Parts: sequence; C-alpha cells; structure tokens
Amino acid sequence: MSTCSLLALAQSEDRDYERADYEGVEVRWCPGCGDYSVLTATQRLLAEEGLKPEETVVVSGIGCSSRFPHYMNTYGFHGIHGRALTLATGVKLNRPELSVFVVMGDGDCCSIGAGHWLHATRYNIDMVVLLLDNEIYGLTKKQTSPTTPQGYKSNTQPRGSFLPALNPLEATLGITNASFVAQTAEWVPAHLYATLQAAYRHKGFAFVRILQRCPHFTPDIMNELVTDRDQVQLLMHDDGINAPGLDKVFENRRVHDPSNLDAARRLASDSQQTRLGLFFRDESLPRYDDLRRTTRLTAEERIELLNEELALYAV
Amino acid sequence: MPSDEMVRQALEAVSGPREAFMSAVKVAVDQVESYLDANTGPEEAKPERAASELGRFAEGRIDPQRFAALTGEHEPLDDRSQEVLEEALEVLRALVKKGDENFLVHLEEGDSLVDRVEAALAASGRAFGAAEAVERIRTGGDAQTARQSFTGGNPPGRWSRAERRLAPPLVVSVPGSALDVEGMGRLLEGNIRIVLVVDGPAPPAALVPLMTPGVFVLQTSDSKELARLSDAAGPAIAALLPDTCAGFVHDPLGGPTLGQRLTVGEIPDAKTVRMLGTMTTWRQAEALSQLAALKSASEAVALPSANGKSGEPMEEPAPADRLAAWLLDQANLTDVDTAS
Amino acid sequence: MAALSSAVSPEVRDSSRVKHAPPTVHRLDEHTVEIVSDSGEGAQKCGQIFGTVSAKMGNGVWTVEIIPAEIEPPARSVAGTSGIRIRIGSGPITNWGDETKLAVAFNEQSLLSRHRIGALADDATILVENRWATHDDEAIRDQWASAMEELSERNYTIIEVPMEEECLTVVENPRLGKNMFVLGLLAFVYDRDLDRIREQIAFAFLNKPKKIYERNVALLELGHGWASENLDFQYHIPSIETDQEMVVMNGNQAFAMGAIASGMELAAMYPITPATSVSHYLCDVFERFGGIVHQAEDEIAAIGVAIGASYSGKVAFTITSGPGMALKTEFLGMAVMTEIPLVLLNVQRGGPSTGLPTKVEQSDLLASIFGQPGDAPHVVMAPATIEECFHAPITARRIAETFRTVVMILSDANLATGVQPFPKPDPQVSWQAPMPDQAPVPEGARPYDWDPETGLSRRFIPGQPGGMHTVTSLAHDEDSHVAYDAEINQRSSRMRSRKLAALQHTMSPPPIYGEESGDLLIVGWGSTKGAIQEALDRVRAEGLSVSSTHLSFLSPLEPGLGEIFSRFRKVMTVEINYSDEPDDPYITEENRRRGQLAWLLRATTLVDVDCWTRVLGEPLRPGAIVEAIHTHMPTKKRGKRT
Repeated sequence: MSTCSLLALAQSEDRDYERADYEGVEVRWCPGCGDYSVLTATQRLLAEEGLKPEETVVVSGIGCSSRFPHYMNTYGFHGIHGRALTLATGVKLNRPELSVFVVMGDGDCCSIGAGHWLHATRYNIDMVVLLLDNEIYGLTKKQTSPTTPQGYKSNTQPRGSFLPALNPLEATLGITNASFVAQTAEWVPAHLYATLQAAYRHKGFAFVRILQRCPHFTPDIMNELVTDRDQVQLLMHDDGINAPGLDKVFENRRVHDPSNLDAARRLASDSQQTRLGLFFRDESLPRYDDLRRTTRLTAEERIELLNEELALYAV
Repeated sequence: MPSDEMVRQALEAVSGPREAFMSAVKVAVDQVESYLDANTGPEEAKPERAASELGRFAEGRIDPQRFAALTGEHEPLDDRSQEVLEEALEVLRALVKKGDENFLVHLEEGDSLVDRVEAALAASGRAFGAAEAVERIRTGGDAQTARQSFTGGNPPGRWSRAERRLAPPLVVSVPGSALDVEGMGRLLEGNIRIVLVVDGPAPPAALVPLMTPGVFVLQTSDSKELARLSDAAGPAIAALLPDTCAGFVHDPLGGPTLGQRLTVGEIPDAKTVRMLGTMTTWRQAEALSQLAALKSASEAVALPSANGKSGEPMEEPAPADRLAAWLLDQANLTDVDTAS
Repeated sequence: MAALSSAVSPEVRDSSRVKHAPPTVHRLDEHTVEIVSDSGEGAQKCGQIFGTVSAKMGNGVWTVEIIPAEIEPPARSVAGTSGIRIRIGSGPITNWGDETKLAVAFNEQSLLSRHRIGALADDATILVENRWATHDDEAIRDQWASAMEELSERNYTIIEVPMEEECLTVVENPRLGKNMFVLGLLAFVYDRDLDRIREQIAFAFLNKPKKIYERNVALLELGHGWASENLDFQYHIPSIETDQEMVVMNGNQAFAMGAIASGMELAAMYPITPATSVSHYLCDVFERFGGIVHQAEDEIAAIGVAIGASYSGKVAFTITSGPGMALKTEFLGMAVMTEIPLVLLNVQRGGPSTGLPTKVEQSDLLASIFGQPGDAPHVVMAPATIEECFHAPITARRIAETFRTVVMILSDANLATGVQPFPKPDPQVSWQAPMPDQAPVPEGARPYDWDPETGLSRRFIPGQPGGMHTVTSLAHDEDSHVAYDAEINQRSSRMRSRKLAALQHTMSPPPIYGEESGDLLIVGWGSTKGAIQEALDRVRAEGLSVSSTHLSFLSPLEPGLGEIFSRFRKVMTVEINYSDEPDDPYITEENRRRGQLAWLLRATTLVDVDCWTRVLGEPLRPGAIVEAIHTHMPTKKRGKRT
C-alpha cells in the first residue's frame, strides 16, 4: 500500500545533501556522551546516501538516546517508552517508500519494549534499528537495566545487579526470521559508520547494537574495551562490515561468514569476548512489509467495489 | 509455453513496481479531485461539502455551516487553472483506466525496440507531467506553462531522480528479429524494470552491451528466473528467450567485482548466428565474444581470498596510506562540539 | 415418524394426532423466537439465515446471539447454551424485545437455561428434540425427566420433535444437520419463502463444495415437510412494503464496511471478544480495497501501529474491547498529546477485568472519556443502531482529521452481534479521506500553529518538504520542541481542550422523542435506544408524560442539555452499567454510585439526574424499562423543578 503520491514527487527536487542538512535542534546530551558519535555517523550516512530529509523518519521511545530525532532535521517521532518499534511498523506499513530509522536505549528495547523487539524482528520490516546500549537507565538516574553487567551497582540494585546481563545479540539471533544482526561501538567511528551503512542497505530489519559509553553513570563499564583494543575482536569477511583500515588497527580479528547462523549464535553468546562486526545477514527471508503490499484504489473504484459488497447483503 | 503465459509471468515479476506506480497515480487522482472540490465553486458551497464529508451520522447533530467555518480557507481557482487541473486529472484517470495496458508493449517485426519502449514510457510518464502541472498551479504558477508539462509525451529523459525511482515497468513482447538494444542504455536509470518476452529466433547475446556496473541484466529461457527482478536494486532489464541463446545474469548487488556480479551459463557457438533484422552476424558474434571475455575475466578474479569465501582479494594499499585514511576518517567523525 | 410422547412432560401434545389437519394461522404484529443448542450445533447460523430471509421478505428483524464464553463447553449443560434470538415484526424492530414466544431447543438443558433466566414467556411454545427422553444413558433420561418437571412450573406448550431421528434419514452425523432441519421447521411455522432460504443457504456456504449445499437444502426440506405434517399452527406476520433498498448485517460488519467507506486503509488489532469479528470481516475483503488489517502482537502494539500509520498519512483505526482499551491507555494519551488523529472502536463487553466477554454492557463510558492519565481531551461518540455503526466511522474519520484528535466509537456486544435491516448506504467520494496533501510546507509554518480561538492546527506529514519536525509525547511548544515552561504547558493544554468546545459549538441539541416537556425525561446512549423508545411508546399509550433523548456524542456532550432538562420534572438515565439502588444498605444520596452517564450529566448540568441501570449480561428489555418508568415517575405533588 504505497501512499507515495505523484504530487509529492512532482515537487521533489534533485539535489545533494550535506551532513549539516540533517542537523536539528541544539544537542543537549551530557558532555562526552556516546550518543554524539552515533548522531554524527547517522547524519553522515544520510548525506552520503542522499536521503531526503522529508522522506526520512527517525522514531524513538523514551530515554536519553530517544532524544535523537529532535537532533535530526528529518521527520521524527519521539514516542513513548518501549513502543518505538510499533510506531515504526505503522509508518512503514503505510508508507513503504519512507526510510525509517529507530533509535532505542537498552531499557526501551530490552526491558519495557521487549515484546515488540521480538515481534518486530520476526516481521523483518525494512528499517534500521539502533540499540544504543549504555547498560544502564540514564534519564531516570542510574537504575539497573537488563543489560547491566552482573554485580554492577545501581540505585535499584545497590548491592550489584543480581543476574547475568541479557545479551541482545544472542536474543535477536534467537528470534525466527531475524535477518541482520550487527554490533559496533560508538568510539570506533569508522566501524560505526560502516555498520550503519550496511544496515541501511540491508533489505529488512537491520538490528545494530551499539556499545555506548555513559560518562555520567557508567563511565567505568566500557573503559577497558575503549583503552585496550585487544579486548575487542573484529569480525572480518568479504560479505561482512569492512571499514577501511580497521583490520590493521585491531590486532584481534576473526573471520566470520555472516551467512552462518549457527556460528553467529555461538560468537554472540560468548560472554568472554566482545566482538564488533556483522554476525548475521540473510536478505532472502520473508519481509512482512513486502508481503502486505496492496494496490491502492481511487475513491471511485472503492465505491464501485463497496456497492458490490453491499449488494451481497441486500434485502 | 504460450507467449500469453510468458507475458503474464513477466507482468507478475514486475508486480511490485507496477503496483507502486499505479498506487501513486491513484493517490494523486484522489488528491487532485479533493483539491478541485475544495477550491472550486462558490464559498457558499463549503457547508454542503462539509455535510457530505461528515456523512449521515452527523446529520442533525453537527451543523455543516459551523463545521465548515472551522476548517481551512477557500482559495477559489481561476477558470484557466481549473481547466488545466481538470485536464491533468483526466490524464491521470486515463492511466488508471488503462490499468495493466500501461505496462505492455507489443512489437511487430521491423519495429524499433528502443523507440517503442521510449514511447510507452513517455506515455506513462505523462502521469509525472500531470502531477507537476498540479503542483505548479497549487504554488501559484502560470496555468499555460503548467499545461505544457503534460501535453504530448513525457519521456524518461525528462524525469527527475525521484520519478525515476517510481518508473513504470514495461513488459515488451518482441520478435527475435527486433531484439536490437542499440540506444537502450540511456533508458536504464532509476528503478526502471523492462522485461523482453522474445518470440522466435533471436540474437544469442543481445543484452550483453547493456551490462554496466549498476545495471541488472538477465538473459534466460526459464521464466521462473524472472523472479530475481524483484530483488534487484537500481535499473534492470531481462529477456526471456529461446534456449538457443546465452543465459547469464549480471547482478550489481553481488558485490564490487565483476566476478561477484556476473554468472554466465553455456555460451552458444558464434558460428550458429545468422543475420536477424537489423543485426548483422558480426554484431551478434561480437556480443558473444564479449560475453565470453567477461566470463573469463570474472572467473579469473573470483578465486577465493584469504579472509573470505570468494571474490577479489582486498586491495592492499601501503601501510602509511592506510593509517592516513583511517585518521582522516576518524577526524571526519569527531568534529562535533561535545561540550554543548 | 410420529413424535414420541413422554410421561412426565407437562401438557405434551402428541403431534401425530394433528397430522394432515390444516394449521391454525395466528396473525401477529410481531413475534420472538429463540433457537438454543450446545455450542457448535449451528443454531446461530440457522437463526441468521432465518433472520436474513425474514428481512428480505420485508419484515422488521432484530437478532441477538446467545454466546457462551467457552468455545466447546460441555454438551447438554445449562451454562454452555449457545443460540440466537430473532424478533420479527410487521414494522421496524429496534431491539430484542421482552420474552420469547417460541423456542426451539436441541436439548432440554439449553431450554432450562433460558427458562431459569426468565427468557421465555409464560405461554411460550417450545419445540424440543426428544431423543434425550429415551436415551440409552439413564442419567440423561433422568435429566430430561427432571427438566420437564421444572419446566412444568410455567404454562409452556411443549412439543417434542424427533430431530435426530428425522435427520438420520438424510445424513450420517445429525449434529451437523439439525440446524437446517430446524430452519425447515421455522420456515413452515412462519411461512417463509423456501426459495429465498435456499438462496441464503447457498450464500452461507459460498466457498464450500456443492455437495454441502445440497445436503443442507435436503435437511431444510425435511424439516419443512415434517412441520407441515405434524404442526397445527402457523404465525403470519405481515410484512411492510418498502421501495427503499435495504441491507442486513450485524453491527460489527456494518462498522467494518463504514470504515472502508470512510477511505481508511489500515486497521490494527489484537484478537478480543466481542470486537474481533470486525477484523474477521475486514480480513476477508480489506485487501481488495487496498487496505491492510494488521494483527499486532498485543493491544499496545496494535494502537502503536495505527498511530504510526495515521502519523504518516491517512487516519488509521484500531479495534478493541474494554480490557484492550485499558492496555492502550498510554498510547491514547500520546495520540492526544501529539495531536495525531486516530479512530478507535471499543465494542464494550461486561467488566471489570475479563468480566463477561461475550455479553453486553455500557461500563466503559467514563473510562473512555477520562481513563488516560493526565488531561487528555478527545472525542467519544456512540452509535445507537446497526445503521449508525456503518455511518459512525465516516463521521469519526472526518472529525479525527479536522480536529487532529482521537475519536472513540463506543459500540457494544448487542450492536456487534445484533442483525437488523437498514437502508442501503449510498457511498460517496466525499466520505473518503484522500491521502493528506504533501505540498511543501510554507516557510515559517509551524507543526502546532494553534488557532487561538479553536485550538485547531494543520498537521504536516512525512514527505512534505520543509515540514520536518519531531512530534513528541513530551510537553511541547508550537514548533514541537520539548518545553517544560509553565506557560507553554498551560497554553497547549488550553488549546487541546478548546478543540472539544469548538466541536461542541458546531453541534445541535439532541432531539427529543415525545413531547418537548413533561414529567420524566429518559436519557440514554448507545445500543439501548430501540428498547427505550419502545418502552416509551407503551407508557405514553398509558397516558404517562414521559419523553426521551438519546446522546450520540459523549465527549463533548451535545449542547443544550441543561435547558432541555429544565423542561422536565425529573430526568433519569437508563443504561447497561452498574449503579447502587438508593434503598440498598449503606447507600446514601452522597455515596450512591450512579450510572455512568448519570454521573457525567450531573457533573455537567448540576441537575439531580437519577438512573436506572442493569448489568444482567443481556440487552435491556422494553418491558423492564416500562416497569422502571412506573417506579421512577416523579410524584405529582412536587412542583416543577427549577
């Protein structure tokens, strides 16, 4: 059911865009927040891909990272906590021609919105889904999130998080019909950009977990990963995510074929090693938006059909 | 297989872009009608229109006069603009009425393929012109200039990038003797989809000249293969031919190297070709040997590489260049003011 | 072929004795018949066909389904009774009436369930399957005997019918055919046109093999033949001549068709009784109209998807019932806050909580209007007839778009499953929403450019160049920028609220049924209209000074209510929701919990509005309303209230 109108096309001008074309209102994240880097990479991606600001929709829930759409000069939807994916599904079912980006935090996606995360993954609707995972609730001031490391102290679990952290990659890869799962880190901008680009170009639900530092509440959580490159393993493959030059910066590398789901699940569930790269991609999986396409009718055609339908119930 | 059945399958293979194009035309029909309805006729007709829109549940409950007063201003159109809008609407309606016929071209022997394809696209392209006219009038433009955008055909060369993305697909039934793609390259832009259903003896490698890095090109004798078109990105052309012709597919999504993009089946012997229509045996043989050359080139670079399953080995620039490139990349991304 | 008689049955007629005697024809203005059975025996299909054919023959018809909460409750159980009640008349029938005059039962236990809740008239005629009387199982024979004993409390005329024995002459599994046999019985009793019934059977089994149609028709003819040989009575209910084209369907189908007629193209839902059948119908046809029914993973996702769709184009709708609406609450508040238009259908059922999933109630009124935390003004309307179920979404769509707001439509289980003929709608192009204009947004235009007088503003949708903005559930200013400023919150709250006043300003006072002034004014809303007006006709015939008015809009309320109320000595609502009885223990004027509309009217008009409400899990009976009016008439001594 494309509701793209010719009239909208007619006033669409051919032009190139720069990153500045996508800048929204003044950014008000904390200084040093990892979200900045994701914002910049996204703006750069939009410019490089030539996405029209008016044909791009950024949807978010509630949380620090969910301010994201305000900082973009595109159409944005800053919805309610945990429900961004439902709104994005509605946008995409109604307007398949729009480019849709979803930005969620770990509380948003993995806790209050976990049900939608599971189902949206299975729907496999064409959109880019960014999980900005700082492993803590920030906006509500340091409560344990599902991805908070076990033992990490917060205001709600002051003796330390009781349970092992939920692994969003492992969870997503476990969902039927998952078609794209990648992990990147905000402090490796080249990899971040390459990942966003691959996610955007993927036809389907592209789930990207972005490891993201919260300088205010969890400055220590990702310290080692940031300072010691060897703690991070880069997944390499011709069909994977290849940022220029990074293979020489990260000594710790591993070849992983992203068409191998079993291997992807194994690598994702390994809690001993943090990995960046493309875990899994399969563009042949069914896409709900594709399956639900309908041809639109004009008002007159609709009346004609409706009269036929009413005639079946005529007395 | 009867050719009607092949045409049906070809239409099916382009159902996505067909529906998208028709849907866009239909949406525009409703919008133009509604715009005309709202901006023609006397101001006094507004309540009547409001009453009609509100429907019977509102009868006696909502006063259309008051309701109409709440809603948008009425900007009456001048007669000339109204006339042009109505003509544009007629163009759009005619396309709706034509339905699948918009996407079908039937060639006879001696017809020029490229001319007929361009003419058919120009006819469907009137939809874009009509929409442009509407937009011009709505933004206060001159009616006479607006009208020019849809009088006559509107060939793809005049379409905007956005319009090319919504290009109407075409299924062309063509006798083998008319399968001359000379000049066709310039029509392959945006999301255009052209399927040639070829009847009778045909040049064996007719589509080879159309292969450029961004164009999906398919030659096959198996109509099931046409389904691949729905996954193609960018412009695409396919031919359904007799099995005496070469079979190959060039898919830009395969990867950056020719080896990743091109798959070639059996290549027929150049000695078997004979003069067909305007196509000399030499030209046909040239296309065949070009295909053979591409095939061997692609196989040469498709050797497995050290860190992947196949494909060209990664380029290995000097370490200093790599570091510089990486640093540049980093710089480009960290130049925001994070202290705000 | 003769019906067996049973020793314990009260006044059981041996129908074999009347064989071949010409039937006595009773001429009647209206009549009510029920068909009851175990779940899955097809009583409802039988009744639907009977009702539709009656409508096609020009009779007024109202049908109500009797639905157990379980899909396959135990067979032959009082609680598991499934069935349908059809009221037919010479004139239009607007409600399900009072008591059943003719009951057809597939077993005596389902009959008992109707007997025990007082559904059957004292002089009702009953046709009951008799195989249970002589069943191999002694326990069943005992149940039959004790049921007959219990039924003998009343003056029913019970006629035993060998349904299964007869059906076995045509089919192997009589469970799958009794309903058509019974349809044949009714066709004889009410002298229905067999050709029309055959046509309707063909329509009902449209997608089934021809063999099935033929088997059903054979059973129909068998039933008709048996009745004409064994029954000595027929009812003749003259039909009304009308030139008007009519259609017949239930309220949920009518809503679905109305939604299509409004041009809406996306419905998002999660299965919930009794709303789901809207989507069953839509799933059948909507794609042909270019529409999508999205079955979401839960109620929250359903409304989220609908809002996402609305946000990006045409108004979308979601379909639910009370418990589902509770889950949608946060999103409803967001739609109001972001001013994204949305149509929500709530087919109300009994509550609270899971309550009575298949039964009618009007208990969601206040929750619908006030249930969203924070101040979230929006529109609530209620269709009163099946015809209005068709037309309501058209008006709702238009209001939602113009006022950028949520419009809730409160239907209920009575309208959802009730079937009534109504004039065939004449769909209009103007009813349908075109895709919102995507013209470039003029420089300086703002996403919430509230008109200071009306609160209205124009929305921009994705695709409009220059209109980029981020809608937010947070408090925001005209630019949709997050704003915690006290003044902005006061202003934006005022603007959202003003829209309701502006809408009310376009409305007319509701019409009065009866005299414009008098002793008592009954106020109702939703599906009770037919029953209230029928009750009014009866009490007015007795000479009582009673009028009624029926509200279609609950938020904003239709204007002029205070003035209307001032013309009556007493005002009372009649509703299907719970209220305390004034003379119950501990109940005082102050703590009495009143009917929900009464609560609302008292608050808005400062009039001492009384109420009479019932939550029996069934539609109100006109007779019960008549009684309520008798007991609630103001005493003549009191002066006219000022």
